Amino acid sequence: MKKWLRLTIVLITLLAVAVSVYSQENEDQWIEILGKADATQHDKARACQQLALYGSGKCVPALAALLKDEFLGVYARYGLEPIKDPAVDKALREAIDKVQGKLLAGVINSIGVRRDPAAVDSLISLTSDPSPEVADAAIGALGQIATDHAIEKLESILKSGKEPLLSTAVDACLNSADRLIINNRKQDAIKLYEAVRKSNAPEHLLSAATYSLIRTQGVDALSLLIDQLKSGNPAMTAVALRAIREIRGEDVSRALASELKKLTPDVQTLLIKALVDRNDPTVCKGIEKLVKSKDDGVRQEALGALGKIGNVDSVAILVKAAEGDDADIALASLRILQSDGVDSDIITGMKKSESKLKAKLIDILADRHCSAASPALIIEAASEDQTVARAAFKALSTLAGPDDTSALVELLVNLKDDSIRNSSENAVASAALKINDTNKRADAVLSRLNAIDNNSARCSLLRVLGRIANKQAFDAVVNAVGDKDESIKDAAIRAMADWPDASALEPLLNILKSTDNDLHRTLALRGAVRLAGQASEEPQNNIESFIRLTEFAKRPDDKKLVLSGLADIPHPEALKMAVNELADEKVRSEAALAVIKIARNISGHNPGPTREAMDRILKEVPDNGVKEMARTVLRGMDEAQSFLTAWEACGPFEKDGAAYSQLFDVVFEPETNASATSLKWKPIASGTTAGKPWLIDVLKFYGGEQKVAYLRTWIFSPEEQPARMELGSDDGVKVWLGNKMIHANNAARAAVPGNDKKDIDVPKGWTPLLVKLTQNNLGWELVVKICGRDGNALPNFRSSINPDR
Amino acid sequence: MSRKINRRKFIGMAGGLTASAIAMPTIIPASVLGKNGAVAPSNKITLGAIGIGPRGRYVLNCMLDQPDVQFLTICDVQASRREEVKAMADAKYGNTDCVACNDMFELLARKDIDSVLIATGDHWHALASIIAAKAGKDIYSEKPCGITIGDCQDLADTMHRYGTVFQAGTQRRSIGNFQFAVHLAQSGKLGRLHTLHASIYKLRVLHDWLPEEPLPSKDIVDWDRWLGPAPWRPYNQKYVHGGWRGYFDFDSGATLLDWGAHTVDLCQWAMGADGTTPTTYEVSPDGNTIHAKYANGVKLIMRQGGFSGEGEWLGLGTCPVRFEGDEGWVETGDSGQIKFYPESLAKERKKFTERGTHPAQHTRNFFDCVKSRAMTTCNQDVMRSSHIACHTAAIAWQLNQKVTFDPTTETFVGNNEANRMCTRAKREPWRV
Repeated sequence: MKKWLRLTIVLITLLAVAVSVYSQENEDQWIEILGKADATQHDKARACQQLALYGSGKCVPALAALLKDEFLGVYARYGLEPIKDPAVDKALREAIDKVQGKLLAGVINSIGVRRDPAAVDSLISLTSDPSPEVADAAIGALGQIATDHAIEKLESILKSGKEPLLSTAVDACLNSADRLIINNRKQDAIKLYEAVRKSNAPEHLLSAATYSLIRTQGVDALSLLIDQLKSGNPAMTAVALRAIREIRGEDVSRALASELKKLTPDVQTLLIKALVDRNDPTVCKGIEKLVKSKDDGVRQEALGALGKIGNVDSVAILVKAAEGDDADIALASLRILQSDGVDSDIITGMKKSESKLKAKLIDILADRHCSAASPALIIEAASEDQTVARAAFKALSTLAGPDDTSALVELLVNLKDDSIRNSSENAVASAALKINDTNKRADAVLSRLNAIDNNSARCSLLRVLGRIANKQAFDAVVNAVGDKDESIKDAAIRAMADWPDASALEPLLNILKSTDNDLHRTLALRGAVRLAGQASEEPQNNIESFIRLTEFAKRPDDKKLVLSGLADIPHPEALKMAVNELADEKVRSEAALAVIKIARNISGHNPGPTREAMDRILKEVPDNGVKEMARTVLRGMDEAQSFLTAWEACGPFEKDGAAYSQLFDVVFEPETNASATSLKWKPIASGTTAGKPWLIDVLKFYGGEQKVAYLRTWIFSPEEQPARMELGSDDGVKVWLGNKMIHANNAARAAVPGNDKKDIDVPKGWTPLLVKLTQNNLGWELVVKICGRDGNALPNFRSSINPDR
Repeated sequence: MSRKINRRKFIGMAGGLTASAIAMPTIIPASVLGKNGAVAPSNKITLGAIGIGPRGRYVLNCMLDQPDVQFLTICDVQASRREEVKAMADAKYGNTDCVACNDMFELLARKDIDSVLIATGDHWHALASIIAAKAGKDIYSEKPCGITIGDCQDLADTMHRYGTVFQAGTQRRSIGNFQFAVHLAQSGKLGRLHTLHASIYKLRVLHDWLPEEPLPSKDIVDWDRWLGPAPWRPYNQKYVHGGWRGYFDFDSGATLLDWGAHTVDLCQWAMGADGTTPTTYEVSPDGNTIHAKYANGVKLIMRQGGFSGEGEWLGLGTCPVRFEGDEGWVETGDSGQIKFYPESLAKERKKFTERGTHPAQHTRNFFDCVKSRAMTTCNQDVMRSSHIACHTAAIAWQLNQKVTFDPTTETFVGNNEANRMCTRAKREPWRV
């Protein structure tokens, strides 16, 4: 045996001995407390509870002595019951002659819990004790011990006993029967249940015995179960309904289903529910027969049941029922029915149905995501029946596939009913967008656009092109903007104004330049404002778009529109433009709100302009609510002092198979050459989380899990000075000041200011500060504060993403 | 058998019997539904309530809103509480018919009561449920349904023995956002599940006794009945005013089941583990987290906190749970908000507005099952395994030991102390 293994075994042995000695010493201590005259009741009670955990036969006399105590007797039993030592049983048996009343009942209860067969004779005597509590306890204990002798006594009480002991004896018999089953004496348990059923016990107890009997016999109790079902006795019917859910087997299901028609409507309804819970399809035929019941409850229950356990044969039944008063239930069942061939049969049923039902069945096919229905639905979409056609188009907008696009375009161009035009357009767009090759999505539409002269249809196709929005669609819509026909032009401009990406910005600006139609102008401006904000990932580029837009926004309403878009641009130039509009009284309120919104996003990087803008609002805007918003921005900036809030971020970086803790040590390019042109550094806002102006939320910026981001800023100190960096990170963090790594912590945690504290020396002048931040999951945040080692602000210290400022 | 079943007829048929009740209201035929969905009195499910404090009133109020339920009797050992409930019921029904008593046997002896709501202090839940089942009543019991493993076993066995319809008040299984989260887990959309997170309340165990105060009149507070099966201790009014929480003799599993009864239950459900429990439990060095593991290797992490800012939960309200698979995760809590990954699951998201504490759907399920005799959403078997998982974790925490548990025998493996903590002697004369 190796030396270390021997040593380990010795140590484990010593530890085991130590634990044993410890418990033994405590047992002695607790026994001593029990014997102390001056120990409090609480001390003794706690000692008993400790002995319940660690006591041995040694403590039995001390605990037994307390059994007579009116208050602490329960604690004594508390200590005794779990100790596996025959001395406990002996002590409890001896206590029978020493205590009376409730205390005796308690002792008997403990004997029952311990199932002490040696106590049976004494307990039998106590079943006739004048104290009802004692007699009750004795009968209960006999039920738990469940020896043949004990059961014999219980059966005798069943035959001759009176209440309340009769009910107690029944409970004890049921308990005994459970013990017999556990001990593989099922037939004896069955005899005991039968004995209870023959007694004069209250009906709910007879029910319990019958229920247990059926459960125990299982399939052998089928006739007994059916007898209960048909008994007309509600308590016994309840027993049967419960047991039906517990006895397995197809034969049982079939036998029960065959009984359905012989029962009263109320019981039929309940039995259907129970059969459904058996989840056995063999009961279907029996249930199908009840869908024609004259009883509303039975009929509806049967129809509902077919949805849960029916099969393809149920479709015709349900479709038929959907024509009548039970339509809602039948349709709900058709919606959920699961079986091979169901979809196909519903399509067949739909084709044969009249208008109203046909539309409902089309809805069901859509709800069932039945794409195989598309060919049939395309036919129905051509129906002159508006209800059917609308339902078909609506269904096709989810079910139609890419191959259906041409057929749907034909339906659209030939559409006569304008009331379903929108549904038809949705269906075409939906199908076209499912075409994998983006460049081909508009082909079917374009092939018809210039081949028809029906203006309504052409307008429809333009709207669809606006939804498809690929390059070919774009060219066609741009072209249509110049159409001589006003309705075509109008449709094209609307499509362009709703275009999903910024490619429409230039055409919209052109419209603004050229149109003299107020409506078109407003549509184009609204679209352009929306797209100007998303034209580029670089706010600077978007600013240029807004500058161009201001040329067309001379009226107050137009200016408000532009300000609403400008507010979403986190750039100092946007702030400046919005501030300029404060001078215009007619748009001052909207300008102020835009200024505040921009300020919230850039205050960390641009404290000077932000403060100036807030000061102007406080001076020039009369609205107190707006003023308070400005003050809140200023308060946030004050709170964030000493925190570094001006940051640029780069990333995210990841590596296949590497978790955040491994990524911590993977070197990405920002660590080796942060100024590499291949790296894209973007300003990241601080304070995007309410109440935390100092927090940098990288999760909002990048999102994701198991990644790395780098953040950098520059700090300025007028001279070299000692300082303290207080840093919070979610999750792991490395920090470089200049070229030197000054901190590393491969953590997984929530960011709290001051998670880590580090004394540092801040160099003179501008110095780059680079942070690597790993992301496990959930939050991804950073907070950094640099202050004096006494916690106060460093004199003339500042930070910026642009060291020239 | 041609006669129409009428529930009150059953009662008549059962007349002359001793403290018994017929616990099977029939289904309500549509024909007896009057205008506005009113239900004929003879076809209503009758209800009594035992031990109703603030939570009990909240649940009872939901039950009173059910059109097919008629509340008849309140039993509480505290006069102020039973009077409050009587006033609430009388105001609801516009009469003074609600009977108030302080002896549950008086309530259970009423042959015209089908079902009971049990919302006593934790230490009474199991025994009151067992006694009610023996009296033939169906039961909705607030959680935790038993304060020991033994209580939970006895409770479940008794419900089976008597064919009782039993619903544990772990209502989050009936709340939309939790159901949605479980759906994501069970449908495989998160990939193979590997870790389940259940929030638990801050763990604590109190063993002290509060200073003795003079016993009030039994008409005001019946202290002996309030204690019931719990070991005796001197009276102090703080106990009966909710101050029992945290005490070993009255509370459940070092308070782990306060939230754990819900959140561990949801994890069990998500994993399809009803009927079993984790097999190993280990407490973290700081005592704040219990790491359990199922036989198939899936981890169940019970961790404290749950509010934003406390720990790593996403701040989605109380009782948060999180299910993690190898392709995604989902987290939700009582706010109804759900967060998940990957984003592609968003198309399946629905908006959920019902708070996790609201028991309307859960109580409805109970009454439906009272009629149909089906098993409830949180029946005795569901309760048994999820509660035992909680108790096992709490025992590991109290012993500060790694424990191994056999879900088949429901016993600890090779740990005498842990096995001894599974049951407690009941104060005389109470027994199961």
